[in-house]
Amino acid sequence: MRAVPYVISACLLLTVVSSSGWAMGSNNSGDMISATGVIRVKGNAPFTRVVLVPQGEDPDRVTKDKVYLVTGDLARQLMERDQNRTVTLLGTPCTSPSPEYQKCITPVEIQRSGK
Amino acid sequence: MFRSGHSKQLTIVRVLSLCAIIAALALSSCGGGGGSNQPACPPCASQETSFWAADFTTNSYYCICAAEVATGGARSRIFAEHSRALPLLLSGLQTEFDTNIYPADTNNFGSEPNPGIDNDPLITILLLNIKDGLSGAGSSYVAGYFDPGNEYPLSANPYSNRREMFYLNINPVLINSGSITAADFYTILAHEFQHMIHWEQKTHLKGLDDDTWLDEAMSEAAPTYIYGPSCGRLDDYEQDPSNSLTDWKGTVADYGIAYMWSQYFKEQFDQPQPGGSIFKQIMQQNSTGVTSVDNALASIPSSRRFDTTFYDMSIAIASGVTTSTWWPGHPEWTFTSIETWPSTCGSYTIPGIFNNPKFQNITTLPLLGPSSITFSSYTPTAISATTGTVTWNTTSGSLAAFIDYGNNKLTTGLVSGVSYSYTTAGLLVVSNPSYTAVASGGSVVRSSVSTLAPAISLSPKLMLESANASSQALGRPRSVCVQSAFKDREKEMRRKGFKPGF
Repeated sequence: MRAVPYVISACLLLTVVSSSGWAMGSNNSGDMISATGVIRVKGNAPFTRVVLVPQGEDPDRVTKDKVYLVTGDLARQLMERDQNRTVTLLGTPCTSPSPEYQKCITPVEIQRSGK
Repeated sequence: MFRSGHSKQLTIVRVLSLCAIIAALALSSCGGGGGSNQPACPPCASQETSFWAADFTTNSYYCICAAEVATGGARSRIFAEHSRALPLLLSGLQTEFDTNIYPADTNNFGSEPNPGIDNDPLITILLLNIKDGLSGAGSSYVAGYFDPGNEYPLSANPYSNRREMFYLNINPVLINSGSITAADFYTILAHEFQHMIHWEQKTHLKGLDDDTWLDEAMSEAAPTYIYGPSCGRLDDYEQDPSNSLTDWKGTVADYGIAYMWSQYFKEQFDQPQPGGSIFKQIMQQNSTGVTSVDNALASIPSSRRFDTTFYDMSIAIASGVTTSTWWPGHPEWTFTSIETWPSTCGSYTIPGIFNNPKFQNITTLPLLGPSSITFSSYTPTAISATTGTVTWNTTSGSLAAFIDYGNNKLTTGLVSGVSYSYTTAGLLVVSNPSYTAVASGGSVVRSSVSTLAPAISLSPKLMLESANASSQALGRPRSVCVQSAFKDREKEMRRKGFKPGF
């Protein structure tokens, strides 16, 4: 029972990330991009962020300016299923809603490599 | 986020949200952004200061006016919303922060941004009625938070207060109901201050963003340096001991395992000299997550690494304090400050790992997530037997240890397919030391070993029932010889030293 409010919190977090992501995405040209890399969850809760560390970068040494902040509906799914796994995200670039990150992607599709 | 284990009727949930920031930023940007649309707070009274605060019910920011209610602090300044008086409950807050929390956290983790974005060495603590939808007993609430967005200029975050600060909830419902104590506030503050330090050391100074599990684990350790172990967190862990340490999903169980890991590291690797915290070493690494842990261990120096310590920790969790004398020469397999066995800890009834009904005689162990552990206690299959065996079978990935409680014996590095015996009861500990991959928990075959020599094979009654069930019994009555049962009984009497009575 005690977990319920936290789950709700996580839902709220990702819902808003999602909403903002789509709002931001709609401001872009709509060009699709893809990014392949490792999914990590960063930052102190409840300011946690789902990020993608691009392939070729060491996830434990990469600086913030090189990683993608992930927004949108699929961010929650990535958090639940894909932490520390390599995925390819297909989506639209977005203006990062977080001052911590410059790159941002709102995925519409997740391609899993199998790991 | 801090998840307090101190609440009794209300669950402490400090929900601030990136969501709120993001939503607010999104709205701002959608509206055109830029300086012309820079949100601004209305003016406050002359003795007050305006602050942005998060409204969790709407995922937006709003303005409040607050007056400084505690001055002269060596490390902090305290503001209260609407010039409210400092609640009696928090009359010692500034002294506690300045004299206990600040030195403990900076000593064990490092320096906060100082003088920081506001060029003020003092840290702001804002007391306010946080808009979290608290509706009374049974409702969740936000007790306090650290918002890293306040470390950024307005050009990056229009809702930045541009100062080092924490928010603490002084909703009268909480204060007046006794749902939160001064000690709770102190614990929260120590936890949140670590986040501020973490942000400074990793994000600001090194351009890194640490893994959530490690940031939260270190914040779980922070209050324990001042106030000792947390019974609530131990209970949180034992309610779901198989939760992954490194996969962070924001559940209470995440905080439980993070707490256990941080306490294990604190016990195992803190050096006695001031500033000798293992966490300070982790903070100084130019890396994040598991790599920063491994680099910190190497710097101590220690030959141990994250994966090997995780396996050792799994045994320590099974052992607790109770069995600390059972494995002499192996302090890595026990806790010194956390009793994991069934006990009463504060207001909590700790269920324990061993003989926990939820984890008993399991023959198909669950799939293990990254950096996770599963436990199962075993008893002999036959009720009359006192000795049993377990045979653990696994395909890959996981490591196991087995505790024979009847003989106070620990076997590490279990081999798949090999039987291990025990007396009375045994505990299988299976861990996945990998932080990136899942592993099979494996399966277990359990059996009994008879301690009666020789056992009576079949009673006469069973012999008759067996004969009646056979096809030869059809048609006419047949005699059954039950002599073997009496011979077995006589052998047992002779084994025990009895002799004929003449």
